[in-house]
Amino acid sequence: MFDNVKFNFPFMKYRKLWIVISIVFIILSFGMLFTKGLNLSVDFTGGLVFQVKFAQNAEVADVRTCLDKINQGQATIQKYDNGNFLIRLQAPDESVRQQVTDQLKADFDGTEILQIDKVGPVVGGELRRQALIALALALLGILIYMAFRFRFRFGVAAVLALFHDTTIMLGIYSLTGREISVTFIAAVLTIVGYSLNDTIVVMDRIRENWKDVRSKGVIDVINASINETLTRTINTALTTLLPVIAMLLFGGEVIANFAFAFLIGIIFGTYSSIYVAGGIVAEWYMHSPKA
Amino acid sequence: MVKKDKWRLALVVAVVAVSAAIVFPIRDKIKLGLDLRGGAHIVLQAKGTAENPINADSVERLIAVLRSRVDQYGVAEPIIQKQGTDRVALDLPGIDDPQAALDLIGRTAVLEFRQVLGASPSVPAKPDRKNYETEESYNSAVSMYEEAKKNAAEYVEKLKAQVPDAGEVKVVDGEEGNGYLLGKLYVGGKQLTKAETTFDQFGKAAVSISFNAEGAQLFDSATAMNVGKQIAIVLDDMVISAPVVQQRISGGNAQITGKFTTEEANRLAIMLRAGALPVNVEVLENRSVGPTLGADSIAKGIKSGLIGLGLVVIFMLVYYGMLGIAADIALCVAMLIVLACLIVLRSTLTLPGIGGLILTIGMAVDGNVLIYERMKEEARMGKTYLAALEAGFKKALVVILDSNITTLLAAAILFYCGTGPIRGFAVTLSIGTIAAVFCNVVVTRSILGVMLSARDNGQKK
Repeated sequence: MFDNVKFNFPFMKYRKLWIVISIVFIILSFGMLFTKGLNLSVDFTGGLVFQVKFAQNAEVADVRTCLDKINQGQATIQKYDNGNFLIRLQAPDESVRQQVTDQLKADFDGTEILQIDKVGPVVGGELRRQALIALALALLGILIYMAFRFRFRFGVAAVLALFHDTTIMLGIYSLTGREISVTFIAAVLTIVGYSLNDTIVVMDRIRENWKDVRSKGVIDVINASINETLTRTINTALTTLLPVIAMLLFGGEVIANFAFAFLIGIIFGTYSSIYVAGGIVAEWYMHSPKA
Repeated sequence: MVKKDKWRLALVVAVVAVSAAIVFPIRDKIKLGLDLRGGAHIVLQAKGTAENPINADSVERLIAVLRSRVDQYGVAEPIIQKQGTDRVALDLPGIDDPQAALDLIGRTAVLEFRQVLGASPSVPAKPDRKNYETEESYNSAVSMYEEAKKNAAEYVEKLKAQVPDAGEVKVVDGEEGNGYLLGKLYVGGKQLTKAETTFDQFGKAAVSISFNAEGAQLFDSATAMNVGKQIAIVLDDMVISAPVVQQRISGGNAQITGKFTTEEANRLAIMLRAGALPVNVEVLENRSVGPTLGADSIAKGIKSGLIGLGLVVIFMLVYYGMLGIAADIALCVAMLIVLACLIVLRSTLTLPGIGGLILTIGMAVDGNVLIYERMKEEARMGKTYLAALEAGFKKALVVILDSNITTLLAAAILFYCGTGPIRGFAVTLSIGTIAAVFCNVVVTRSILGVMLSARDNGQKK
């Protein structure tokens, strides 16, 4: 019933290398955020998004020609694999919505408006504020929880690991130009929960083994803890990734976008709970073992 | 099996039976969000002017007008609510053409007092069961009501066919399904200065209206010509009241009496004020999803969910063997419980909610993985299966609770800060997490208890 595999990878041996790699990733992410920035969706910027389907075959250029007639040629137009079009306009005015639908219906056979998202600038600002409040509350909640649950250093290490995960997630979104919508914020918070969960399992084991820290040394204690929980870490990552990949491949546009955030989050969350959190605790202890 | 195990097993069987009874057949039981069933979510900002500032009354007027229009348009289960102090949010499910809905809603209210040239037979109020003593008398009242409604509808059809919809004369629907043939416009809403609920000398509810000087004159001559006849009060092409003129009314103050309840009188007064001082609106937010896209999203969600579930089930089976079977059964029970909770709590399933549900499939087995890895460690230390099972569950429990609290924390924040679809996600994530913990700790343990005791019994001589 039980196998007897027991891992003993010397994770902590390369901790400095991995910490450097993580720092480089974080710097690159910040670089992306400050230079290229994020592709904020209409949720936050305000604007108008149409999802349309035509009975006839059409290309992006055709749609642009059509929209040019009403001086909306600067719209972002995207064609999906299934032939649906996504048209994004920075036009808060009600009349534009009317004009666009009329023009599309006039120029293309069987125009079907699948979806309209119109967000006024006021609501955009509010959603932006709501998202920031949500993130701030999450951070606060985590800090309070960690303060109760863990000794100071473990808490700091776990929070730094979370900072690492979310920064890299944002960096990758900036790099790929993927859209940051309200659902992305939901995904980030979920990943924060997931990644913290992962870190807690490792930290919990480190705490359990901490009694041996004087006899075996911090490196061995942390290494043993990571190895003991390794099967769990990997299996949980895999079982969570399987449905995420299913969503990514078969879930349709919205769900796939959601799943992409989970995918990155789970990969980096798993990595960070092994290396980042453990590495920080090890380094900290070696520099000042007291306290 | 010890007594405690039997109780646990009984609990699991009961929970599964109740959940299954709630869930099956699943058709039409789960409330779908607008992004899945199709529909429009619209947020309007009431815009005040110097002489018509935004206050509680103006928002109430706006909502009354919106409700009447939405009812005219025939939207099933609309939700219209005040948001903050000066906004109104509308959820209109099943709208095929968001454009048309928006045109209807964005329009400014128009109130008119018009001449009545003819009226369809009147339709009585819809009978209410509690006013009738027997089932038979109620049923006959209902059939009379249906009959009257049909007659009125036929009459209105005939009128419409005869009267070309142009010029002064037109056919306008009443609120009860009846219709009127209307003539001359006597007074417009702008001339109305006041409309409020009052009580007549017998203490019955009535609506008092007042006109400005110009309106008073117009109303004076209109009532003079129509003593004993009806005058129609028309709001947005719908006759909201057609009182009979009892006498000529000079001076601009009139009272509409009738068989009003206080609520009916209040409603009429609000609608009159809405037409007198129409509130302009700006569309702040409009999210409309056509029905085809929603159906497509559901189909894809179910497909990816089933594939995800299948992959996880296979993974657990391959990696953990017999233990995996227990985990898989527990996972299916967890999903059953989640669906049952969604139905019982009447929470709305949204597209991100489906995403949350699928994600839960993966996270749900985490508890099993934690327990099983602990059990393996305990077994390695030389414990028997049963002892390893005990110790594994006991030691893993703290970590399971600990780690799920963080997910619940994130979900709570999302629920607090988020709107519509995101709330749906937070709800499914929370329900999923709680159901998963129950299934990890209680259901898996029961199944393993049964499996192991069967095995031990087999080994004993």
